[in-house]
Amino acid sequence: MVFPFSGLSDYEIKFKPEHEIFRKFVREFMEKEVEPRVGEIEENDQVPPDLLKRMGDLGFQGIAVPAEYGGQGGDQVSVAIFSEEAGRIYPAIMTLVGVNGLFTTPVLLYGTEDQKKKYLPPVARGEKHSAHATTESVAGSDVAGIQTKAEKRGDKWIINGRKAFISGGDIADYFVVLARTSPAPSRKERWKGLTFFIVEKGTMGFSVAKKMKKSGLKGSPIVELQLDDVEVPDGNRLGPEGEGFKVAMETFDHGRIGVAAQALGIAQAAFEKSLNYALQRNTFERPLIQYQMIDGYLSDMLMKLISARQLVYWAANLADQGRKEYLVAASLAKAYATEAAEWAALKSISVHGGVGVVTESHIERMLRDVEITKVYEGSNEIQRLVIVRQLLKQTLGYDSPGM
Amino acid sequence: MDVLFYSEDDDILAELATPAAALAGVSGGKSCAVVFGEDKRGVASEVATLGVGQVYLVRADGLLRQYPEAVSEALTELVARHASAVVLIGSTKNGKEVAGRLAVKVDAAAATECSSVSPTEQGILIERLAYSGRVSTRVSLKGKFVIACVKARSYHRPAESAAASVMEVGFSPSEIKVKVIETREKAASAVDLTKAEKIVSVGRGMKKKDDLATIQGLADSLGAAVGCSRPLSADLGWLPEEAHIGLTGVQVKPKLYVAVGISGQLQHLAGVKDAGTIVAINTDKGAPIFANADYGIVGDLYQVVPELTRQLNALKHKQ
Amino acid sequence: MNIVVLVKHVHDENQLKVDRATGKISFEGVPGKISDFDRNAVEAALSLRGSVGGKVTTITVGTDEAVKALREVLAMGADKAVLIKDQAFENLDVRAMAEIISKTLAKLGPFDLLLCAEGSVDAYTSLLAPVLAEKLKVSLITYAESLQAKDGMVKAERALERRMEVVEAKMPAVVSVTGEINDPRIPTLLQIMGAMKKEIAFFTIQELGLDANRMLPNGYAILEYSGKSKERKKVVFEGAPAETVPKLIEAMAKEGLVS
Repeated sequence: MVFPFSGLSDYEIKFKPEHEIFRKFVREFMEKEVEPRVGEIEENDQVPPDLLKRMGDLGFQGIAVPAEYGGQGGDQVSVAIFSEEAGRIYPAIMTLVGVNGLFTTPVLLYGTEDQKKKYLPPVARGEKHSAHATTESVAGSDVAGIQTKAEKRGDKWIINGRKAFISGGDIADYFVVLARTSPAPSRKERWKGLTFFIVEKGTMGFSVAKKMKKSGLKGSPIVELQLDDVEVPDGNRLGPEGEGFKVAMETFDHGRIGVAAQALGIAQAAFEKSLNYALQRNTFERPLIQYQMIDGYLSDMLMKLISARQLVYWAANLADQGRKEYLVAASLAKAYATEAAEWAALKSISVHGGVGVVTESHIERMLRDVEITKVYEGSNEIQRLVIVRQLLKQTLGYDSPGM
Repeated sequence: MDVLFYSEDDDILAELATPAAALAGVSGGKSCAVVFGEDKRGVASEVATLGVGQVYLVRADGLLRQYPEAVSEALTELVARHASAVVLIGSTKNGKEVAGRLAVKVDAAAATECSSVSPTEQGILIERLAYSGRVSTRVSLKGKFVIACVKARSYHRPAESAAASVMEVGFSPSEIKVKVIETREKAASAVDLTKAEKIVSVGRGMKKKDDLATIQGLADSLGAAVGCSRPLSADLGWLPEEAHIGLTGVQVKPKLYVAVGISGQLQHLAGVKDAGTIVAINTDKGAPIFANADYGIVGDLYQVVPELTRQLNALKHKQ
Repeated sequence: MNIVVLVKHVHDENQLKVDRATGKISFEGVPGKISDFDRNAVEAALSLRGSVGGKVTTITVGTDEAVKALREVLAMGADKAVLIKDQAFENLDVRAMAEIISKTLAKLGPFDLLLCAEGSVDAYTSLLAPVLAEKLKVSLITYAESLQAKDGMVKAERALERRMEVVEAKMPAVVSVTGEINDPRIPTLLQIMGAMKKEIAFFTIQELGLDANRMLPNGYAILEYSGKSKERKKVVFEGAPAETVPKLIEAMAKEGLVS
């Protein structure tokens, strides 16, 4: 027994030949078609529509959506591979795909057949864009604390509220929106009484209120959404009434590995660039790589990078095996990889010296891009809670409701 | 061993006379230039004065020169007149095709893109690059006949000496399988970069086609020709194909090569291995070009190039 | 139309291990890849199949590692793949290689078009296409930048050093293509997974009726590989252009490159 898992084989990481082939092609797309346009995207804070379309055509928006719903039918390892390769060149690309995942996941898990058939194929094929609207300015980690309300009138729901920090909300055609449909039965049971709805762009009363400027992850805009008496039919309710919290948690669970892999990609890039620079750059007539402090940084970067890599793909393997333990692994991976990437990005600035903060070097950008990865998709503080709680649940059967 | 040498390009043909003479001299054989086409009588007379043992003038319509099928067939007939021979061919696209065909027709070992040829006991030793120019190799070719395609500007044409005889040989090809139905000569103004002494080359660091004017300005101040890395000709079409310097493009040997906004990928470097002095201007300190250059400036080409041009021009005016 | 595409799995030139001091090259542990321009040839084949219909078969000679290259080609859309396994294939000269490929083609049946890249990025001899065409006694078009096929004829544009040519030939034909001919497609994950199920046929040289020992270099031997290149000075100037430019000019003047 290798606690908290039962044996050594629980730690196995396996890949198939198609994974390596997929990685190669994603890398080719990122290096040939995205990298040359990074400057342009940073400048405009927008990924050009033709690039978005290309991503859709290549099937990137539906990697884990089953083929019967227009997706690629890929596994979590494939999602991780895409996310890592995107993170390595330009993390926002991963987020643009990840947000569609935050829509397709709840629809796949809790949607009716009609909802799946209507909404999944266009999103998986990149023909339509989608977004996930749970967060509000008053409630991020505290999902149960959201104040958007939905009231039933006949067979329709009227939704009122304001959502914030919604990635991809600027271009999305479809949204999943979380609203409170009934009051919490008690303080301990605040998580009860929430419901998801599918809301389409253009619905009266539903608008993008404001685009928020941020320091990093340019090309992946975040917006505020305003809902004023937005009317949706009951057919757009996603999942059982009052159980939206569970839907939200499962959705975020599924997205965790992708974010961990995104950060892994950033760490990979930081390491590659630092190593390359240390080999090229001379100081006091010797290459940087001959200096012990630099070697120290590089070694530490590599330790963290490979550890993160193992965690990410281990979590993906467990998820693909359908094992519940993947939840612990995914949280470990997310918390660790994002922090490892931040450290690597920081140190790569040290290695590069002045060049590290020059915009054109794209070194400082890694740090700006990585910060949000520690915060979104379940902040690292929350991940640390999840790790212990899931661990207790898996190993001791200890159930802690709510979070 | 005798040596036969051929190129559809007159300059390369003249250059090949040098290694041909050297090889023939060592092995006690004869060096024979092959000129293809009735329209090249003048060239035949000229080559005859370049220290060759003999010139074969293949009497055929000059147009047939465009057909590697015909050229290789003619060469086969000529090669068959010799007990053993080294065949040197200019390493142009058609030259390499001719070499491949000839290799089968006379069952000879062949090598292309050679930068040098030297004699051995049973044949020749050639030098050529491999792995997109990352590696240099020496290859030994042995046999009754051996074929080496030699790159342009690998040798200088020899000095003039007494004229050798020009033997006219009749030739008519058997079946020609590929028809040339249209030919478009490239602009006469198109510079042959293989002959340029100085080249300013531009890559992806340049943002817009119009910025070429800046590059041209620098080229003018240096008296240099303009070249580019593959993306600018193949992907963007901002410069013609003849300007593309690299493994699959032109290989150049200028005294000075200035790489502006070029990262230094192997396949580009393969085109400038033998440049005298390489200067790099790039905003990325980690770009591979700096490790492959003699001098470099880390900076924004949009600031460095105009400044460099300005100062070079100021120097010129001082004279 | 029956289209055959030749591909080669080569050592990645960007990952060769070169000893900086001696220039000695090591191929051990160097990852392989499909030679860059081979995918252009595959794309050209798939494009033609798209317009006139038919089947695309890809062939490679190499070790087991070459299966990776074949899977990529299958993922792009080729119908079938063939690997002629040989441990020492890198020592084969082009005539031996052509012999192996001809025997393979004889086994596979008649082809209309045989496509390959203008050269492989490892050796870049550009000899395989002409040698094969000569052996098979079929038409040959090298350095094709565009390709069309219709009514038993193939038409292509060739960019030569000083001119562009448009040529036409009867099929069967061997055509080598340049990197400029197209942008090779990137397969989706679905296509990649589908490729894992497609057929790869394996042959050894013996199964083709050839004697491996007699296929050894026929007067062609690579004596030495060296990673040593002309030592460059690697002097780098950093700072504002007002400072770096004069330093560069001074250096160039010392070399007699500017007056």
